[in-house]
Amino acid sequence: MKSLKKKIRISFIALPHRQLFTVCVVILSFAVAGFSVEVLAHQQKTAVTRILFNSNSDSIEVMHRFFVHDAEHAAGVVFGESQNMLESADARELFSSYVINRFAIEAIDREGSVEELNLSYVGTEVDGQYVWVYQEVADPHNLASLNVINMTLRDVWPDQTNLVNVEKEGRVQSLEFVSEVDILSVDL
Amino acid sequence: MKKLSLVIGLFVLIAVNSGAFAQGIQQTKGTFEDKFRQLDEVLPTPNVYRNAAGQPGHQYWQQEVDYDIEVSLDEATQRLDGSETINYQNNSPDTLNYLWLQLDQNRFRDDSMAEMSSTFRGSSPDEDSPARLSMGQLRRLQYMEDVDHGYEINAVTDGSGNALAHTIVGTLMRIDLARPLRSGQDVEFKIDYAYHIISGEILSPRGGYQHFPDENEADNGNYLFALTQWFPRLVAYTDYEGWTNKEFLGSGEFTLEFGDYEVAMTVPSDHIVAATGELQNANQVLTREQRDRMEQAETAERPVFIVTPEEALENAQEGVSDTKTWRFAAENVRDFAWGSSRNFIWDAKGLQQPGAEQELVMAMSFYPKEGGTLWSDYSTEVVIHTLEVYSRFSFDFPYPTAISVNASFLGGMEYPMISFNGPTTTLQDDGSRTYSLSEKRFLIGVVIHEIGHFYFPMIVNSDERQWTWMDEGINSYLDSVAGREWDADIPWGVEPKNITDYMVSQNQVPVMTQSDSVRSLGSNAYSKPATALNILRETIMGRELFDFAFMEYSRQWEFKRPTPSDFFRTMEEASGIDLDWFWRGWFYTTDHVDISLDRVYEMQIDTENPDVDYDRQRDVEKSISPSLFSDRNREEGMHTWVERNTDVRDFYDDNDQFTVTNVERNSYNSFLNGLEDWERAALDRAVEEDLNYYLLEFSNVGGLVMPIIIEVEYADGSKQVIRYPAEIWRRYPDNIKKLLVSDKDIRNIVIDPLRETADADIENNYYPRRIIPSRIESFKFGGGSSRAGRDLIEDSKTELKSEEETDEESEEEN
Repeated sequence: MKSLKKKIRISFIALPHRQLFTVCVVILSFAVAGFSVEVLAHQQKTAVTRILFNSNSDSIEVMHRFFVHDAEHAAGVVFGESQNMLESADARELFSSYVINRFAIEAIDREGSVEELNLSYVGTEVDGQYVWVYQEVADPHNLASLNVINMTLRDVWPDQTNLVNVEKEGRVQSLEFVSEVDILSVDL
Repeated sequence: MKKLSLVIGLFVLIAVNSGAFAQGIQQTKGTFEDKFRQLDEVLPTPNVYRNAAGQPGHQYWQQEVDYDIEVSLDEATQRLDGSETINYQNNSPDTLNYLWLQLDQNRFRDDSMAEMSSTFRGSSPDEDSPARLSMGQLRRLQYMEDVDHGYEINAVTDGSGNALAHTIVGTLMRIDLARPLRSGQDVEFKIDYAYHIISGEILSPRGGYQHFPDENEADNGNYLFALTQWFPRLVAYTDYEGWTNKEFLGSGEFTLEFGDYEVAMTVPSDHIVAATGELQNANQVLTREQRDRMEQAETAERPVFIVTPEEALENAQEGVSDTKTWRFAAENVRDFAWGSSRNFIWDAKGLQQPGAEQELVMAMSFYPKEGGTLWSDYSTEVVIHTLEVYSRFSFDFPYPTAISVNASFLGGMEYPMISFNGPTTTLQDDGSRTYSLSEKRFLIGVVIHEIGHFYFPMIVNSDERQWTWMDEGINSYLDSVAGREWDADIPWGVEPKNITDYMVSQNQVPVMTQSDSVRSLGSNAYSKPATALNILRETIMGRELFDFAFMEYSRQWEFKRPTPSDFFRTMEEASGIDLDWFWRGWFYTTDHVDISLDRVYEMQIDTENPDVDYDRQRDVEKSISPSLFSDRNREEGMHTWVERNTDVRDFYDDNDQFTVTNVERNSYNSFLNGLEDWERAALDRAVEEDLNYYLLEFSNVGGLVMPIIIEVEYADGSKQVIRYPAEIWRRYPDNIKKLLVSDKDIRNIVIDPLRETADADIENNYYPRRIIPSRIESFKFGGGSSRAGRDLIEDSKTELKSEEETDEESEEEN
């Protein structure tokens, strides 16, 4: 188990620089147009992210949940080869690198200054139908609001819907990323 | 003045708001909310068409519409030209002056309501960042500009060829009848039409074409057509809504009538056609060998190729200039769809249903080479498995064929007897085709789901335009049942814990919402109702009662049109369980489940005998830790005045407040004398048994009332599960107390130990509380909560390390 973790870290560092992804957003979009009508009679293309202010660990935890099948296809489009996410840890790490480059939180503190939260990558795992990607940052305890940017999978297929639940002290506030929505705000 | 008007404005707003949620009867004093209030005024009044038991009423009726269609497919221009003769049988008690038809293709016109009402929801541009448009959106805009979509209605005529007045209203067309159509009468008319088939890859619709530009380059590539919503169809006329003529915006699918179809498709002569119904002219369109193979497939152990991969590859090499006409017939279906391509591989296997009306069902799959062994190994087998499981829970499959067609531009889409499914293989550099484990699971899942739709809503004909959940939710529930019977190791849907993130979210609408207004269709109309039904089956009703009631619903409404109230009522009537609270909570509100065990009191019964009770009370007093400050004095070696002066004592130094005198004993005796015999017996028994009494305080944080399932762990290590029905909340929906009596000491209690109720917050399920690690914390400490994602292939290549290497490594770690 230990050696496996070590391998993850190396392959993660070896990934392309994040700047590359940001530039590619528009070019990567290959799929159908964004009129946000779920036309499939079979449900997919929905993801959920929990942003949890965890008082036990004194951190802000970000937990992304995707359908494995969605993630696999998206990674296939983005990275240009077939991805076996259930079988390959490398494929999951590659997908995670995509996710963390498509997700960001801008924090506005009580004085009004704005700063992007420096989310650190914790890891990824598969659980049932889902692949999870984890990020976290220490809770600065002075935040007044968040601007959440969530483009995950939505640059791959515009009918992707991402639900973000911000949970602080038992209160849940929800952000819904559909069609072209790229940034949404929440007061804490 | 300004201020005043503002205040008035506010009041009006509030009044309108509360009015919108009022349902006739209101609690107007206090705050009590009756979560168990019967759905009386919420459900429609039972009538002769739909009775109070949720069954078709004694005068139930539905229209019948028969179609005779001749259509030709032009591959080069991707255009369809058709002529349909429709016979409309008015079985309603009403006289109809006009008929409405669905022109679904008009949704793709660039002036359609669907197009014109779609909004741009991205960021507006500013100095720092431009607005963003994806390449896909750009391509869509150009495609919409380049190609004219929508129906061309060339002629509408009556039986004698006279033109009928017709008016097109968006995706609908009204035909004005020359004479009123009375109850029991029928009318025949004819429509000539044409349209450009849409590109499935660009518009992501429920059908269309896929282009294979690298094949048959001489003819500009091959095409695979999924022809769906491809002819003007009659709008359903119902007892509950009249004409269901709501504009097609894309989300709400269809509401259709049953009828018989005869369809002749003229296609390039090298095409293979898959369609709803049975092929009528096999002798003309299939070779002798293909017909022999089909006969062999009827009783085969494994699917038999009717068109082999090699033959399909050969067929795809070049096109033809001549055509062939395939004739199909289907009886008692609510729609008709077909697929056509020269790329199709075709396999089949018979399903025997002994004793059923339709004893032989041909399960068949059609797929291009891209489907590969993923399709040849699994598609048809999954079709058969699905029919077997669904039939067990509802009724024998009544149709002669069940088809799965591979159209990789869509996820999955269903029509009677024919479904289109997306999963496909990946071409590797060495020319082989492979698929991942999750692609395989997707294929199995989506084929089960779409074949399942053959029952719901293709036979149990619910109104999809109005209520998506009625077919998607019910079918998603049953597809997970069939999925678990296929392979229990595959994670299927409907796990209660997976729906909680959605159910706590703030942007949701009730499940009982018209399809076009639903937000997060996948969670709202698929996962949540499917999870609800699973909970109903496994936790609330039990499998036996649920399965009986569900089968009753399926059979009562086979080939008929149920509404939500019919489903709700049947499930109650057949099971004998009041479920109004469940429908209200899960389908009519946006509450979530979160039950908290706030406090537990441990108690012992008083004997009332002062010689016993006073001693006990003294023990309790002693067990309370003495003053910290007195303790510190003692630690410092300090002695009190009383301790230093033991010679000065009086009565109170030898007796405390718990000393029993005859005053208490006399009072006890007179208490005993005052007891009735039965009271005395009860007291004596309680004193003798000396049980523990626990008072449990629960609160309903989420709002949704549900059964309280607790697992009690006793001091001796034994465990007991107790299930309190949801009705425990009926008087006090927010907070309740429950008395628990036990001869054992309770160590701890947990609510919903098996995670079967979709309880969103687990931390407050434990008493005493324990810290529940978040997913991230579990992941960090335990290296992940699941082993499903292990890299088996990669790991199996790893060499076993020597002890020295392992030691070195642990030093590095340190």
